[in-house]
Amino acid sequence: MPLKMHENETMTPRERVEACLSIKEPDRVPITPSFHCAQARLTGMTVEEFFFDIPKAYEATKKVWDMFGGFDIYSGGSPIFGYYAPIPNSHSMMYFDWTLPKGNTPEQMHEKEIMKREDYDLVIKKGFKPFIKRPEVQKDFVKCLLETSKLDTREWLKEMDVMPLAEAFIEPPVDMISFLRSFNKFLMDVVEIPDKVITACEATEKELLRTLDPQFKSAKREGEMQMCLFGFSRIATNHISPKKFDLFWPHIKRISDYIIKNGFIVQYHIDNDYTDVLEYFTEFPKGKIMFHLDMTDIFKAKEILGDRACLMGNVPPQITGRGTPNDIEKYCKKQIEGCMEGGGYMLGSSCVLPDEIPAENLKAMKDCVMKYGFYKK
Amino acid sequence: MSDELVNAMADLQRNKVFEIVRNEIEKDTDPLIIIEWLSQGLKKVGEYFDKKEYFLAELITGGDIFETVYQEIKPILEKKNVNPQIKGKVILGTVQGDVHDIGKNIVKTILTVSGFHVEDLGVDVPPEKFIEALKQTEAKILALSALLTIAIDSVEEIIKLLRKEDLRDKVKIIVGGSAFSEELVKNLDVDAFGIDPMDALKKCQQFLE
Repeated sequence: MPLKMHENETMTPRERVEACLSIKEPDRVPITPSFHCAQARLTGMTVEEFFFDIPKAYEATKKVWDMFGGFDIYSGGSPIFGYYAPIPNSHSMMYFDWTLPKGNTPEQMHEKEIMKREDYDLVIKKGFKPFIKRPEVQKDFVKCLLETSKLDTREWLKEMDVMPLAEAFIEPPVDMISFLRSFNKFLMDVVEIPDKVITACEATEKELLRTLDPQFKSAKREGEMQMCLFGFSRIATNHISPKKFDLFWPHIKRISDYIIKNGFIVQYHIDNDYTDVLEYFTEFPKGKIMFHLDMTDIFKAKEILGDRACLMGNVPPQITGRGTPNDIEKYCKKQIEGCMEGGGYMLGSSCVLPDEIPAENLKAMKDCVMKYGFYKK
Repeated sequence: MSDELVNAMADLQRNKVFEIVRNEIEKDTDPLIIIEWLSQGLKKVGEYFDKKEYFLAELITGGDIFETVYQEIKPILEKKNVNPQIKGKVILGTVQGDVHDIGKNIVKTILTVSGFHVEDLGVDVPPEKFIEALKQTEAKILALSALLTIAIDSVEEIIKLLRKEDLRDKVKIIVGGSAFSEELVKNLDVDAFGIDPMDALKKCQQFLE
């Protein structure tokens, strides 16, 4: 039976989210928090346990859905996958040093200069392959895939008529280069040798696009709206000027076009602040892109992109993790009232929910859409 | 010549800055004067940042040029037994439970090139280590960095320890990093929140007034 969270609802979670993605008004604002490992604490496990035990993490996730009466989108169970992913990506341990969770301390990257400034030519010539450090993680990835395939996720979501948050993932070359160079060195390259950085981004674009093909092939279901997460964090305008962002836009645009061409909606999971460059995204047609915002001003985004792109996010962890239910109500009410008009808006967290979010805060977030998020007929 | 160096520094022309500095060293110009010109250039970088003409990328580049060129001047300072005036001592670190150091390192560079002596304790620093360093150095500023909101517990622990050791009133605390917000720090017993590296510098300078 489709999931029903309130007696006044007239749509299933999928219909509600699909209406938003198409920039139409649904029955109410969807509640779409992105979980990282918050399910662990909410069900009495450690983050470590949740992270490494895929079946247990899935059970904990289902339990959280029971505890809160469900949500409008499914953001997954254990995030371990990304860290074993055998593709060029900042989360992949194949390339980067990550300390995985211990107790309740989450995974963290030890960012250092892996690629030197003189290595740009190597990247231009050979791509990211020379920087593979741990090819053996591929085995762990396959193990994770096998364990995940035993779960009944597809059936569970089908029964509730809930769609997943994302079914394919990609990072632009610029983020991969930035993490290999390390933050400061990368930003200095952008100032001092921008042409070299751009050439390397363009030279590695195909290598990254190729990682999408098998994902699209295994995930695609005809007649359904599906999203591909396109995440980046380093070319934000609290790091570089809009003028410098302009240099990177062509490759961001081409990757976005490729995702759209393959029948997926681009989900820009963009960490940090992109408020000053939102105009760029007006190049895309209505309903083909959506935004999961971190620090970008969602009200400004509504003003600039509200007619073509669904928006969510911009509810910071300082509020969800450290605020009171009252703080959450105040913050979310303002956002709902400022963004819900005309549809194309979902209430979600900035990036991911903090692992330590108290149950009453998550409840307050959900209560907010029930209280303020219904559309007038 | 001073204007040329100030402008080269402000325009982030790394090679030109080095060329001018090397010429000045050859001419036996007082190294403290060279540092003063570089500082003036860097001050302009800060002003452009405030006016949103420069961004974090330019700020980091400016700090790096200054730091690198300073390494060339340092041996001369040592030889002549002169030291640039230290404005104040700062104990800096990423708090326990968090290993992110990008923001911390940027703040370290900006404070250092602006005349502060910064004792960097690194990342995942236990509260006791901060207290120990404050006692040893008699620094009056404690700068704490965190990206994870979960690490705020560590900040509270440090403050508790400072009170216990009767040090809280003797030290100014500034916090920075994505874990914090202006709203959130109101509930913490800290003296300032550095929104960005330049803001952190300004607030540390205000502590000394």
